[in-house]
Amino acid sequence: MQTLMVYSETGGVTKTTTAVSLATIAARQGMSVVLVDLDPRAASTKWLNLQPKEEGLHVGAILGNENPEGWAEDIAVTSYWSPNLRLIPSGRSVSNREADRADQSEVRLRTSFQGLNADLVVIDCPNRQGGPLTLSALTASDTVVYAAKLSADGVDGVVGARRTVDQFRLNRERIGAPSNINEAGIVAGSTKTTIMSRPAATSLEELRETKMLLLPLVPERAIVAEVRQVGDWYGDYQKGEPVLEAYTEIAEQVIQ
Amino acid sequence: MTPKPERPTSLARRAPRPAPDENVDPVDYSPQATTGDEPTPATQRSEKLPPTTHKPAEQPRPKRRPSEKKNHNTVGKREITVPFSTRLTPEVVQLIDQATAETGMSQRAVVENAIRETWG
Repeated sequence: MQTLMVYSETGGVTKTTTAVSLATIAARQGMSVVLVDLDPRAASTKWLNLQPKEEGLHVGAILGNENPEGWAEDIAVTSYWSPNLRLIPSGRSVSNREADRADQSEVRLRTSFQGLNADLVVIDCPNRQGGPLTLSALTASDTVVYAAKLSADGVDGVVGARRTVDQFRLNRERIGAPSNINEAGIVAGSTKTTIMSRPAATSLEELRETKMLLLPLVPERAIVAEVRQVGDWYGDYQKGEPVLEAYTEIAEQVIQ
Repeated sequence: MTPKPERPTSLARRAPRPAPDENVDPVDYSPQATTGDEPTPATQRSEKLPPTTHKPAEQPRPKRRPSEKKNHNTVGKREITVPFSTRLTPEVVQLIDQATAETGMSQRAVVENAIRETWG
């Protein structure tokens, strides 16, 4: 099972669009996928228009209780978009976990994956500089995909996120623990490809210099915002085809 | 010291349950608030949620009057607590859930009261 986290330290840079897209594309291709919404804002949860099976049975239950072995399988909710796609929802109270650091709490998410019937787990991370939620994702993941828009904020978000991943690896080395997290690349989402502004062109060049920029650039299309409002998958609409094609090519590069 | 049980009495996996502070809004949250029994005005104002099969939110309790004996486990205004972690059999967990549901007390209060009554 591959566990892939989508991460940036900046908000609004297509983390959720990237996470949901990779998860849904993989599910529609026949993989069994679990999407974990780790952001207290619950953007993925709202987009997929799903509710926890019972009140409080979202990712916060995993993070807020000791020994949540196997709880991911119990909590995951099947999506309307594909029988192969399930979601572990999030909720506002997940933010409480950012205020306390119980012993070994960073391993709870990984612990919950025991016995999980999935080929792929995709984690939609909150935009944080480290912190307990990010640490949970890093501990559970073997792959990190950075999300960025072509802007100074977008580049900053990737720089900060890479720094967090580097620090995590260093800490793991210090305690002699394995760190098998692989940086799969940077996704540049919601890109104006017809007329690119100078700041966007500069940001693109900065991302290229990392040698980690994944191609193609994902084009900006209004359909994505529209389907997020109604809870649909843009891949089911003609206007969503360019975005779907781009993310499908990216998925081939980052999903094992 | 009570002897250890020979083997688990039940092989049923512990079912997921909400976090203890599920009904605490992040604006009002503090690590102390999840373990204490004292209500805050904010938790009393918090939005009422539909009934569930899980342990309900802590019921508000009267604020401590100045004449009441102070808890000597305090440093200034902060109560000293220590983390406590152990595995429990599923039926004991169920008893704790039942006790919290029936009394409205927190898990911590239920466990502390039981220990004090038996061994205090």
